[in-house]
Amino acid sequence: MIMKPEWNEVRCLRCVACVGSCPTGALSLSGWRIKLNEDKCIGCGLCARICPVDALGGGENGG
Amino acid sequence: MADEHIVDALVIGGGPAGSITAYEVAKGGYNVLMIEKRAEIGIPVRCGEGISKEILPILDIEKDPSWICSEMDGARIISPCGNVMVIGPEVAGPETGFVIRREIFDRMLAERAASAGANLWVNAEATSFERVENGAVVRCIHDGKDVEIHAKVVVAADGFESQVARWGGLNTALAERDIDTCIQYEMMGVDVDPKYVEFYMGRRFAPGGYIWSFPKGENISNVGIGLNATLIKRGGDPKRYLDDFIRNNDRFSKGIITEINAGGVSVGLPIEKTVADRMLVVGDAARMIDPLTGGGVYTACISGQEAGRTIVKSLENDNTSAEGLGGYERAWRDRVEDQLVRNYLAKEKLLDLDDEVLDKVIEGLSEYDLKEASTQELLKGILEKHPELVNELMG
Repeated sequence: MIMKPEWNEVRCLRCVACVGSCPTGALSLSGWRIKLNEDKCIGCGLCARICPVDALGGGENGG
Repeated sequence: MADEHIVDALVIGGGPAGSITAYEVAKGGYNVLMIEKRAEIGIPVRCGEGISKEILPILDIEKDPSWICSEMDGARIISPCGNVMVIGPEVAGPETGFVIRREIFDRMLAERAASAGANLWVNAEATSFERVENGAVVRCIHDGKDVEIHAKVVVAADGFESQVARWGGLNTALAERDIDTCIQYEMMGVDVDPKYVEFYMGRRFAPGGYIWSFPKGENISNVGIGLNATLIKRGGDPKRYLDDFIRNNDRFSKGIITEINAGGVSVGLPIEKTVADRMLVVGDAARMIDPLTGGGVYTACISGQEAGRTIVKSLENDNTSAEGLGGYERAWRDRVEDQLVRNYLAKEKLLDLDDEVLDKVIEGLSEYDLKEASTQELLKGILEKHPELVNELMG
């Protein structure tokens, strides 16, 4: 499944579990926001699964 | 044109590993700057806040109630069906720990570095790293302004989410099975023994991980969960498992959540190379977390100490090439690698155990007169009570 994460600002705890787990370094926390570098993202979906609170597009389509 | 700033050593990241590195370099008489991207050291806390008492002599610091919340006597390990194994003070010895306030602990370490002569910038985010003759240039945004920092050596102390080591050409990528994802509540009004940490083991509670309760005082505890990334079915699993555990446990279900924190921890082995030309990697950025417990502060402190001491020598010799900094790699591995590898192997075993086996193991150990809290001693206990399980554990 190819998916680019969609960041849910309200749900996010800024724990950066996603940033540290991204295999290509496509995510970063900057100015208290999670930023995605679309060119680096390979759509593996690891960040969305790893998020402890469902803040990266795991919602309806993540089940 | 960016402002320019020249230092001997630049430390990127103001956690324990960074602060201790900066402290050692400053103590050695060199000009060191530590930059922290957040506006405040120690915030947000992303940690269970348990730490071994051995940290005091290692860092040469005194017990201080401003950052030590409580002192443990031992641990209780609870199996999926509810069997309890107690590791009391006579067995746990120095392996027991403190439950601390990380934000104050981190602040104390940063202040200690600054008192020794280190410079510190908060609100300073590194954006690039480039090697130049005899050093490196790091660009950063400090209070919204571009600054170019010229340093003879740069320390990647930027934690689990490390980018700096990657910029320096070192491989910090994690395999999925080497990541645990964690969430923790600080809860008040819970029924906990203030002298005992608790670990709830097994797939029933936490697939590929465990649930912990680290008491911070009477009726207050950090209650958290870590799950292995490979066993997470969809985003948000850690929260669901933790909420289920709390709801179904009378001792916790009436508690009130006063804080939520979360994060990722690496549970693999440290990265293969922690040294490159003009660069050292310390602490979580180098994946130096105990794979069994998920604890990283202790090893972060050791690596920071060795990094700082190596940097002082390399500056004395005017050689911050990978060769000149090579002593760091040997020094930290000598002090912690054996323990990390042993616990990595133990964790890999634990990940594979069925709940029924775990129930038997913990039941057997609860009846065995444990002499010390070591893997070898635990295996001896299992051999005595459940010899049939040893093959399963060793195979």
